[in-house]
Amino acid sequence: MSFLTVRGLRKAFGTTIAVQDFSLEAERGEFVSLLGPSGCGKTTVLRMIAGFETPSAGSVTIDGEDVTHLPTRTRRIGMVFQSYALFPNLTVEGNIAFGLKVAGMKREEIAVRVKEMLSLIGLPQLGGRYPVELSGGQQQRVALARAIAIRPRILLLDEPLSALDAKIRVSLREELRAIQRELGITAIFVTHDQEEALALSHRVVVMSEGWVEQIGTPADVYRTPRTPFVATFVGTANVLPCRIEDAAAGVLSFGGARLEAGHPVSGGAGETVQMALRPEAIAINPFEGASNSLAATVRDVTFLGPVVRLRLMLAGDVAAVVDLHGEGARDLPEAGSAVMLWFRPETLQLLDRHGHGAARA
Amino acid sequence: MKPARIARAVVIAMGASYLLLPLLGVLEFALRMRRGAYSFDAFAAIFEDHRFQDTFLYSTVMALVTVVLGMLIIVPAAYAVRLHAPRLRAAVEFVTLLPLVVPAIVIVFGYVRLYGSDSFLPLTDSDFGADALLAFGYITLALPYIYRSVDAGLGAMDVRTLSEAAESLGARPHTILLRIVLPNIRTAILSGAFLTSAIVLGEFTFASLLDRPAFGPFMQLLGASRAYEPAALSLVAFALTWGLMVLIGAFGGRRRGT
Repeated sequence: MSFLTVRGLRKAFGTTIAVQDFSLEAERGEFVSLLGPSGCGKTTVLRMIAGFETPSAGSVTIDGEDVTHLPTRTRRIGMVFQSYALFPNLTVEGNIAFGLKVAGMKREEIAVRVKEMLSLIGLPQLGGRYPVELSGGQQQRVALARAIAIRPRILLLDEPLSALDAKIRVSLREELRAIQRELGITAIFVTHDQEEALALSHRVVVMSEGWVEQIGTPADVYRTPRTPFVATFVGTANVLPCRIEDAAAGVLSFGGARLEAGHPVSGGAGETVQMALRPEAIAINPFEGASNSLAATVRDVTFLGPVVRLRLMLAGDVAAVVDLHGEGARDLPEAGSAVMLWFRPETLQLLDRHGHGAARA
Repeated sequence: MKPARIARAVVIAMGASYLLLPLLGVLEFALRMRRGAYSFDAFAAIFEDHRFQDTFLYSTVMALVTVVLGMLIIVPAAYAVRLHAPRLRAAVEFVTLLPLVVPAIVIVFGYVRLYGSDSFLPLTDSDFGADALLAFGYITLALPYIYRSVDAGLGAMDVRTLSEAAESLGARPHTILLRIVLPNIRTAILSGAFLTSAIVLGEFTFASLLDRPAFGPFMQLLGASRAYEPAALSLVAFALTWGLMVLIGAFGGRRRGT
């Protein structure tokens, strides 16, 4: 059995279903992110693991112990909140020591642990300050130290970086990753920021409207999205409605062009399926008349620093985006010009036609 | 000087006159006890009167009891409503405002009917029972002030998230209330406590009808039988109330980190 097992979690608030049939297994020391837009149910899942919400159905097991109906205080979890939630009346040391005092630890041991935590988060000199005297990044470091000081079985992080500015967010993200790996603590991280989820996690759970869309490593989720939602939410993707010509050979057609997927495609000949293609997987004008070529008209060219983004129109008025890097971004077509696009067969991904709940299968 | 500044100064002067002129008039009258000369005789007469000392001490003790019992009842209730039943807040607020709408005389007559000598719980038969009844009456009277200040204090902190943070660290509800919630609403509690004390010190209806030796009835008695002493006493009571307000500011401003 996994260290954390969540089975069939469901949560309804009145007639609104916030979470549907959520299941997850996380191993000891694993960092799992719940990724999705606002209202997708990711925070509700975290709150059910923490014990702040009672599931309408399903169970939560930590290290073999069923904690579904245990109060939060007995679950031995550490929680970091988006709003830091530091106790304003206590100093940094007081905040870190709070859980240790509640647990009845000896004063000398508390002092040692607090010092150790302050050193871990790189703020050894700020123990006597009050939260109001700290910056946002420092407050969140203290909140992290307070959560891990009690040596929790699982660390739960509810969008802990969202309230910080971009630069601090990136540096704290790296620190968080380093501390989690160093302590080997199992962490469940809620975020709506795909970059954060991809950078921090061993595995990502993509959620939408209460359902799990896909669970996989960051590379899996990005490279082989299973649903149109995952393809478009995690990064940018062109979703092309294609017609199956030969399912076994993986041959499709789009706007009269022959496309090769490089692998068999599920479905019958003549059926329409949705295929995802990442903007960076597309090149412009490489080989005239090659397969996997699509005619397009350039609508707009945007310079984004390391990347030049082209917005194009394909056959059937299907909009598409192409990202060009390095040499490919030197001779740029002008808006209104006709171009030929090309991509490798393996970059074309078949999407699950059912969408929500695809990960249940 | 700019016209806006002049207008501001005029408004401030008018406001100050409205507040200060009556006080100056009362002070001037209180100082005229001795014929043909200003003196503090009226003030001396009050402070030497043992009834002043007794009734003031009694009302101070009652104020303390009211504040402690009131806080013990209202703080956990307001916290529980904020945390577990936020939808009930409007209803609870309405109930707490009732003492402002229902006259004190109606409440005290209700008490006398309910707890009089021929009732199932004849609290008015003993001094202790009547004192307890008075304290409960004062808690009712103070309900709007205590509840509103405590609720405002809870509203100013993210009580739900802080409680959840404490709970995730293993704290039980009473630990959260004592070590996290109370210290963070200290100013609100102090302001409710001092407002309650000010009300209890001057309250007349409850104390008079329950026949308790409180400061309010003493002020009324003095006012009905003397000329200069009531004026001096009203200034003393005013100074005490202002003293309490200053204490609110002093204690409230001393906290750190919140």
